[in-house]
Amino acid sequence: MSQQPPPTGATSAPQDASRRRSAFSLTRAIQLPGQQPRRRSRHTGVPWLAVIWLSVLVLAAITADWIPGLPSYEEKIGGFAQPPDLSLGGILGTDGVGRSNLSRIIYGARISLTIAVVSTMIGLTIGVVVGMLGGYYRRAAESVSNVIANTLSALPPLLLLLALVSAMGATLPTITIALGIVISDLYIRMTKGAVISAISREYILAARALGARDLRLMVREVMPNLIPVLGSVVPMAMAIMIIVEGSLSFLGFGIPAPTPSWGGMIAAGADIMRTQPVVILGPVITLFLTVFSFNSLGDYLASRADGREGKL
Amino acid sequence: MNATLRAIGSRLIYGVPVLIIVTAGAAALLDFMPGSPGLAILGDSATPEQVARINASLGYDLPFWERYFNWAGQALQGNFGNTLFTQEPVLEVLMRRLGVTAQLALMAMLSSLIIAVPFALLAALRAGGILDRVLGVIASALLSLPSFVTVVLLSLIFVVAMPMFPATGWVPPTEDLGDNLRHAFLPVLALAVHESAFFYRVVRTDLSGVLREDFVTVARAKGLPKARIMFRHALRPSLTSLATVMGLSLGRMLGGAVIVEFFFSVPGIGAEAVTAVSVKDMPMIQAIMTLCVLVYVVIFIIVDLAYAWIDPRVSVR
Amino acid sequence: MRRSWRPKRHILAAVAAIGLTALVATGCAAPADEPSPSNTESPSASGPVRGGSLTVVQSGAINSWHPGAISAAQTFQRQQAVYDALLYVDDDGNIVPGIAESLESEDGGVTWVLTLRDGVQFSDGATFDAEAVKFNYDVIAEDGFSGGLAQSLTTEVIDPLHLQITPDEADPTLAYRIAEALPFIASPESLAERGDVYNDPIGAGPFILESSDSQSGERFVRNDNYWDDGKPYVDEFRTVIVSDPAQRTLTVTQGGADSMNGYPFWFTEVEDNPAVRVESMLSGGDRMIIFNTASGFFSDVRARQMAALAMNVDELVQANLSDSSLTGSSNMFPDTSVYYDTQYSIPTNDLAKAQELFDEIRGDQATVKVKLAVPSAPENVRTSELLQLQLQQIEGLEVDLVQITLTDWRGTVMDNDDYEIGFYPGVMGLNPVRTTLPNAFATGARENWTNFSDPEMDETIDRLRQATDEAAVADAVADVQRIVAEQVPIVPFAIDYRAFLLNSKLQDVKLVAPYILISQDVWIED
Repeated sequence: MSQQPPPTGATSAPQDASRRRSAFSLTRAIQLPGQQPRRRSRHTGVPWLAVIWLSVLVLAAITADWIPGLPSYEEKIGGFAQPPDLSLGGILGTDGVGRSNLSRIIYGARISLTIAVVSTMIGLTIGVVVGMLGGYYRRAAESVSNVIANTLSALPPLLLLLALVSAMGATLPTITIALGIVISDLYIRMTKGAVISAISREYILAARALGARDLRLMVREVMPNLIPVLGSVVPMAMAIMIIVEGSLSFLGFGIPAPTPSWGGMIAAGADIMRTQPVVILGPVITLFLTVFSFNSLGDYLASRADGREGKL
Repeated sequence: MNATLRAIGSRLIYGVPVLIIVTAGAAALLDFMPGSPGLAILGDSATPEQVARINASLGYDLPFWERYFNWAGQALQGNFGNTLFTQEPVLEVLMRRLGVTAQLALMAMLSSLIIAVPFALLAALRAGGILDRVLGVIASALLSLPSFVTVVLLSLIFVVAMPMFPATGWVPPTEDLGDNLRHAFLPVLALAVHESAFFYRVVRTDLSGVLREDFVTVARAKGLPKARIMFRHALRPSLTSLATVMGLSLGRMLGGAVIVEFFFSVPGIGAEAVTAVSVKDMPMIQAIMTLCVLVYVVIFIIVDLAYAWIDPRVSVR
Repeated sequence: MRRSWRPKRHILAAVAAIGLTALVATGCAAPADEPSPSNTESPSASGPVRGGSLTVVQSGAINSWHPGAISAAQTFQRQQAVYDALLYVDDDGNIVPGIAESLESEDGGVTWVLTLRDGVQFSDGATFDAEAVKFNYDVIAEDGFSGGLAQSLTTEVIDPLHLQITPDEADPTLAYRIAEALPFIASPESLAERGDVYNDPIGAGPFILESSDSQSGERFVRNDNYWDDGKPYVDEFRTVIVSDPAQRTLTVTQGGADSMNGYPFWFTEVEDNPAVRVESMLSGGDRMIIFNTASGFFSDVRARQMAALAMNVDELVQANLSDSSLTGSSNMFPDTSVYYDTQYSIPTNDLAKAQELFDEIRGDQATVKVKLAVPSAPENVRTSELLQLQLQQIEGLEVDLVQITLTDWRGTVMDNDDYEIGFYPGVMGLNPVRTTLPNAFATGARENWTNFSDPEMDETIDRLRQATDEAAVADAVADVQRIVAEQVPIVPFAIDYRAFLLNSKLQDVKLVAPYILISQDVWIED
């Protein structure tokens, strides 16, 4: 499980290196006369399959209550661990209690996606605020933000989560908050790096000299520059959140029953998966496809963001 | 050299507030966790008075600050207390666990490098070709596999289907090197699957960036063969990202390849951390956190130094 | 300006070489473990063979080596290796002598005499005599172990081989209770130096503890001075700790260990593997749902009856054990037991009646919410989820699942009473009834999870304990069952059997309570 998403270029290295990295981008941005403009991106195609999968997933999660013929995720539709049959509810078989796997996967998507989105928002909020303050005001504020970021990244994420969840109890809100805290160090670093490079631009210096207020500058001028940088990293971070929630469930600290979550379904089937693999096949494949889609989307966005940066 | 020493010094100094926050945080968390060490030791049938007595002798009934300062004072002298149940010195146990996890982490990193770097070079040689695209997809796919799925799949293949390796367990290398390697194979592979995909992408991306630089064009114009350019000129700048990522990766694995150790019953730091948190073994939890922070600081110092050595344009700040 | 590449290349090459060698070495290492080979002197077709190593799988580390600390089967197995037990309870419910010769009472349980063997020594040279036993019991009482048993006994040394034990109340079942909670005696000299935690156990058992690690397990070596000449047969006894249940099974089938215990359904797919065999423990116990009868919604007997009527025990046991061929039973005893009587089965599976009862109780409340405490292991969680569905068939009843880790279960449920209805994570043993039923149903008893307190039950339990012949016992047991069927403090849904997965080469495996094997008797076939 990666703590930081796979770097794709200038915005990847930790904050110490971000300044050095700008040296590289400058070099690449300069073009000799007569040369073709460089295309930095390798994956130019939009990952259509990923987009389709994620759209279907989100749609299903939102409209789950109204899908005709879909049993509730709490309803027992047959014996336990039944193989797939032709009914909508039974199309992916049943779990260890006899409930519809398809239904639990769809409702589980709600949980997993909610966790991913909300924890990302929490992480982004913490990250942008701390990173912005640190990058804008420098000196003391930067040191404080460094300490915060280092504290969060010094500990292995899973251990930090275990400790937090153990103390706060394992419920949907606590797990989401804990995940948000754990991922925020990534956003702090990215924000700070981007802010630092943004404020060194002349028009910002000019605006400050003219007396423009800090808050206004931060929100109106600096923030828009953060969007491509952060946007390229968000999908991959969401993928990480989904995986980490699964790992928590696997270790027994995840969302408690009977709320369905993909990680929880896999953990629940752990003792019978060798004799009745149908119980975990659905959630495993769904988890994989979703994470893969997020990663592909993130790759695409990152390659586009880099391309823009390279063109000056 | 002075600048280097100053840089190392500043990194170490940065580590101190982090260390304090982390260990104090752990001490504070204990107040929120249900149960108590006394209850865990004496178990079911003890009377509340006896539980209280054990808690008092372990210093558990003191307020958070006193507990923390006592611990910190002892820790600075090298005494990290004793484990909860067997009252062994925490430092001794931790070093044993660290040795195991270190072996796994180093072997995994080496294997990942050996797999990832050559493939990345090959793919970059024919950028955009079939190999490049296929490897890119495979790397993405491997990165999308959660570790708890990876371990189950590996077990199914290498233990159930083809009984080549032991299902669980660990033998120290001092006891029997052959057995040690056999037990290490699956955990290392589980870790390497993810890390090598990670390294592959990093190197591949950096190579593609570097290959567009001017000096490469110049080298091609000079007529140098592709492979030579790749090795002598392109690889080195790409290593800067790789060095950082290796540092992150090593730090992450040393901090505990939790799922892998849990599943394969490898007595490393990750497994110890899970147990310590479940039974609220505070001395052990504090010690593990201290270790994690120290490892983190040391690794980043090393990474920064390596960065400076690899890329002569860069100086250590 | 460009640095020389050579050092870098050499480093890469060296690294590659080491890495490749490592990979190759692991592949070329010896093929998969074979089940423990026995390095015996002479293979014989009959009779035990000396030598070899016995490895038992445990699911976690040991909590305490204190002779009074009996918390779970895994602690018991390790303590048995180091201390040997005074007495054992076998599969059929009989007391079997261990390191003691006998524990008997001539006066119907008022006073007891423990008879020891001559010439037994602890592994540090101290003598195993009545003084040692008395010292141990005094320390155990003082340190707060044994669930109150040691505190309730008065001991007096008659002579070095005889100890008189007087319980504070006449108790004909004391032998069973001692076998269960006070079977282990440590060397008094080492116990005296114990400090806060006794972690260097010295006993008179078949093995001596050599090393212990909370993640890797223990290693014990043969005690050559063991009182039973010739035993133990194996040279070394080890434990390995494996957290994941599926991995535990795999470890045994693969030869990484020789024995584990678990649910029979874990072993169904390996039954045909010639390297292992499965042995069931004949004495069963109950899997059951428990109610908090002292407070909350279920303190009303009608509420408990209602819950039972909403349950379908067949479905519960099928989900629990992942086996659709099983049938459940709401009777405390298996139909093979002498105490079995169908009239004492608790009524279940009548939704209409359940709804009626609920409507009676609820008054004008629209919905009633109750908390179902669930111990978090996969098989328990899914059974509890099913139970939740079954109960929620009653219109107006809402059931909330509260997951509690196994380590916190005792503290939360037993000590804090923080539950209304719960899924009992273990098994209520039925063997021997003269200790298990009192433990479960007497007011304030050790295993009385339900806080059940009924004067008629207490009086019946007294009769049970004082009973002097089988007929009286059967009579008392019948009454206990009658009261349970009327008051419904528990709802059993299946008889539980545990099974052991054993290496086929193990011989003379004696399985005793609580799901352990007697380590000194086992030998390994060639």
